[in-house]
Amino acid sequence: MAVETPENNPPCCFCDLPDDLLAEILSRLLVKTLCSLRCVCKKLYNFVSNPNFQNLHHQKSKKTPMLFYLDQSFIKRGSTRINSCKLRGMNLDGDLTYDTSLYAGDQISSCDMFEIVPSYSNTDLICLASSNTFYLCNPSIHQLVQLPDVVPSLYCYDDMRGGFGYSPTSDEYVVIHLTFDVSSIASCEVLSFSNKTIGAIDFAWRKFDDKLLPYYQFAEEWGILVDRIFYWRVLNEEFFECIISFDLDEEKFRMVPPHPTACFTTNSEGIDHDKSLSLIDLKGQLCLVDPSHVAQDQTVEIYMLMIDEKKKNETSSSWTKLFSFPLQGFNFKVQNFVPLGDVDGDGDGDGGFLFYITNGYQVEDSSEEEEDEEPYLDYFLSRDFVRSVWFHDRQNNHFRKFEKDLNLKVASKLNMISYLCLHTDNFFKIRNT
Amino acid sequence: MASKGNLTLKSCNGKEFIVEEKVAVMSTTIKNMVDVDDSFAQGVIPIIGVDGKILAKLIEYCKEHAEADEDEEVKSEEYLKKFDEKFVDELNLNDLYDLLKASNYLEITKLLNLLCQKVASMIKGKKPEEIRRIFNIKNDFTPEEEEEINRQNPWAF
Repeated sequence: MAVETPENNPPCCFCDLPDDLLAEILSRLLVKTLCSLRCVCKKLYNFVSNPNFQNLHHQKSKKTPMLFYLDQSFIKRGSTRINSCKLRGMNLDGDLTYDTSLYAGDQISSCDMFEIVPSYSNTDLICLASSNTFYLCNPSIHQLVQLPDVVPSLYCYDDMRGGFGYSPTSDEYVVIHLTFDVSSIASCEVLSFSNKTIGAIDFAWRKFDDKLLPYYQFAEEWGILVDRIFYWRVLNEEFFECIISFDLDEEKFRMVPPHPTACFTTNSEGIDHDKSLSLIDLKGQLCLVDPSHVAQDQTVEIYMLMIDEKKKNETSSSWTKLFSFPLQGFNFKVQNFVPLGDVDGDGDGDGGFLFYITNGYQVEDSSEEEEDEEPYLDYFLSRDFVRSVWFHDRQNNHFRKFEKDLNLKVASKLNMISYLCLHTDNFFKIRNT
Repeated sequence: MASKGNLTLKSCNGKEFIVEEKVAVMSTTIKNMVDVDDSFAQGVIPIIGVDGKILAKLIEYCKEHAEADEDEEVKSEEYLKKFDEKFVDELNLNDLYDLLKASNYLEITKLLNLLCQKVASMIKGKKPEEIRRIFNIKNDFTPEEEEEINRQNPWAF
């Protein structure tokens, strides 16, 4: 019989618990908290700094990603107005977890607006874009890295276009930037770096000037990366919606076969944003989210691009319906549906799909008098819609609304995705020179 | 001797507890013992390294949860949530650590999660000095080391 009872030998601290229990406790905490816990004592410093623990923490965090959003508003500093830009994060219960000012360390000091470059394949780093500059950010460890300058766009009012993602095959993060002239894509540059790089990462853009496609009107600024291929939604001369791709290995642009219902989403006046399609990476496959029938039958169709393995190119591939996403449980008409990402569960029913919807038109009186001191912001603030973020619990087929009021003042109805993203709490530090 | 459907658990300091089988098998470790060897179900199951005080606590927890699993109307989800809250709030630090170790050894997953969450919530949002005070931890860094760590720390206070 064991005689050494706990009374005889009391543990003085939770850090004297067995390692597996300590890991179990600490892996429930935010990276921010763990960083300050490192200052407590040597044992905790070593434990939290251990790559095995950081890996375990990462695996757990993946199952509970946070929703991050940009909160931008202009404040007066002296005689100029600057954008007080904050990157805020909250967990799926709606508790605020991170609140980071992008001016920390005076790295950014401008009056520019920022966008989040959407990425479904990666939730470890957040890529931000602002007039001709990209930034990579890990808000968990308060790191913000400015990337080298890109080729400036030919027209000063042109939006930044490109994409950001993670390629599991090459274990690389990839940023791509495109510029246009009248008739074609004028330049394409790619910056990639690996987590495994020894020593400091030397960021540099690689340029591809030839083999560029003729001009298409881009349906949205940012494409998505599905392993080694970027995809963008574009419009051709007949305003027909198409998808173009850029293969990072072959360094070539291509056309992807059009989706059968794509023609419904556009008309001669351009894109009907209420019914616009979204591209998404679901489990490493390019998928197309088609909400064009949502107003009629409250379902969103999701199609997957089936690539012909023998020919290995998109021109010989075709679209197959993957599943219909049911929204019948809602007691209002859903007007628009934008996917935010897919969350892996741990078998306890935590897995699911995060998306944002626009529901119903709320007709208000003419709002001309509301042209107050921030006309630019007001322009983006659409009062006609009610927008909300939802989580669909796959196992229980249950919808849960994000109750917290996201301060999405400047999130336009056109591309709200550019202000919202998922982020996995993690210790990954970019070792830039 | 326990009657049919009951098991006898014996703590490391010799205290015996007669509990219903459905309560005892909340522990995966005990469940496996009973499933594999029928003689355990008849005799006394020694719970190594867990004293009477802690074992009583474990049984209190398992009893509530086993009953709730059986009859959701009497012990609703809300009732259990309140019970769990009160259960962990009344523990002192040493009991908390002992229960953690015991529920880990006995594989009472629900309780283990509850206790880990409790310790995590005690750490959350605290400054290093507060953590040291609450958990009675000695700062074993030299001033130079501490300065260096604070310098590396992106979220330094």
